[in-house]
Amino acid sequence: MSSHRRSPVVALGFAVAALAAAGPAQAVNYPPPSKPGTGKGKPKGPHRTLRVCKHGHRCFPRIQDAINEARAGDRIKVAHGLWREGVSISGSGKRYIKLVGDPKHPDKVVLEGKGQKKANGVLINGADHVTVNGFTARHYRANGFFVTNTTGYRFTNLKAFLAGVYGVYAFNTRGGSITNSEAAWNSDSGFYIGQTPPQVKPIRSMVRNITSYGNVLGWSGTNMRYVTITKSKFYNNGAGIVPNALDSEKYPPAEDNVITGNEVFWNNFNYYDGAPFKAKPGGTRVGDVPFPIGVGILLFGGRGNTVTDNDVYGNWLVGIGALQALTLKDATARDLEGNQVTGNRLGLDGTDLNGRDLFYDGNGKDNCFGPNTGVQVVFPESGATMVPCPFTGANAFDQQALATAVDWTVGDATHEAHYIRHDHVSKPGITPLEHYTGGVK
Amino acid sequence: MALALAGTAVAVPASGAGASKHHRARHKTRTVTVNDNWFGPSKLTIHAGDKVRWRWTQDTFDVHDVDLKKGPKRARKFHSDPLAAGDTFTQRLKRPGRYKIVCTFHEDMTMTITVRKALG
Repeated sequence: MSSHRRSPVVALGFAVAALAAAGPAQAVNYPPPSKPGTGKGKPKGPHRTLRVCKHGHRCFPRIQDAINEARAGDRIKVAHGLWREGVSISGSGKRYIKLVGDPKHPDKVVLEGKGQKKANGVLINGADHVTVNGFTARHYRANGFFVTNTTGYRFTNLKAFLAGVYGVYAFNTRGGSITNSEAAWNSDSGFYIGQTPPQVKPIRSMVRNITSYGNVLGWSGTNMRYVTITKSKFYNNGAGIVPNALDSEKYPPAEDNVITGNEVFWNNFNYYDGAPFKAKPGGTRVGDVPFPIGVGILLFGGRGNTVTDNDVYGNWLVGIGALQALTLKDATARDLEGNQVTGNRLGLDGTDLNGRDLFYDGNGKDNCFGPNTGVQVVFPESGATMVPCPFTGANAFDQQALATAVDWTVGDATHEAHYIRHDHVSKPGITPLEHYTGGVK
Repeated sequence: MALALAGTAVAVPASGAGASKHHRARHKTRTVTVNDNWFGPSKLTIHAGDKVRWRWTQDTFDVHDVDLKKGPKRARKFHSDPLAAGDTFTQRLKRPGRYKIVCTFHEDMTMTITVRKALG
């Protein structure tokens, strides 16, 4: 990314030019992705419990050894300790396996990625309804916990730190749950559900009671569908929760997600200026446009998403924003449609203000904002793009507002020039993070 | 490159133990870089028996894999783990024909390998 400041118009032009340069979508000539999941049912018992421990009889010395031995439905119990391996649970023969560490003390069963050949702490591929419960994964080159091509999974009581890409990651899955987990200092997002196949009878995914901090993004949801994120905390990330549309993955845009009852605050981490992980040059990008920092919740494109009943405060660029997925090559999926931002509480009763509470470029149709409480500053200032819920019809697009938003991200080498700073409230045990000063290993 | 290989082929004995040894030595390893979100190069021509080594560059920030989506008849399917910066994945391609490779996480991230008959 260039270090000089661009005008909004130039910046937008830059983005559009980048689109043009990208050319039309390549003609891909391979079969459509198979539906995730094997279609094989729940295995009949009896099921065994296989034990993994470093010393002792009747236990496997490595987690992978136990997985290799396990049949569908078996339980694998891993003892306390530092496990220097990356494990793989693959294929229908491993469906319904339960991999259990210490659900009450996940930090006592640690998967260590440093010096390992395996890039992922736990990789589940094509094995439906696998449970992973009670582990910490750290320092993996790719992901801490990763599930793909499955129907159903259960990730609970997990901690994922310092992954090269994502902390906890579900890709091309139908249904599943991520609960009671924590992710921090991951060089992309702490948590991520992406490329959910569209479904006639959707199986929803549930995310509850997760904590995400110190990441580039607290939550990324590229082309994510049917996900409910609730009772969770996202703070001290570059941006908090970002359902988004990209055509690098299938099925854009993000659709039918519910973000409700969360606390989203202090997402002002300028990782460009230093981080315990290697940050992408130019930031986490959508096409040629990096995601902005200082944002609580951002809908980058999307249809039928509901953002409601959240506490959003102390985010110095924007509390909750929505804009067209302008980098998307698939023009039919670019526009915001039927999204609702309502019933949220902004600025913590005036004690911890957002830079701007709400932003919306007015793109698309059937989108509505409000009523929300605590709203003091909106962009565009006129508020003309934001109509209260419910609303049907074309929204009032504001080209200049979109251009300004693009300029916030690509026209500012410091990434902070458009912050509107306010004092934060004090919170026990949490310190606001704007610039990383070291100490995380 | 093709001419150089052809020259090498002429130098290889036609039969006997020496031939086998030289035959193995003739096989090459070609490196393909895995980047966000492209393979470099996106088109590659090799000879049967050569290896292809995919290398995830240090500038790669996302997760990618290498999946054989379509290949010649009786070609052995392969699919790497999802990998990240610094990782490598190597395959020997024995059957002549066209191999269509895709990253299953990024549908436009494709490459084609043309495998020609082995020299000699």
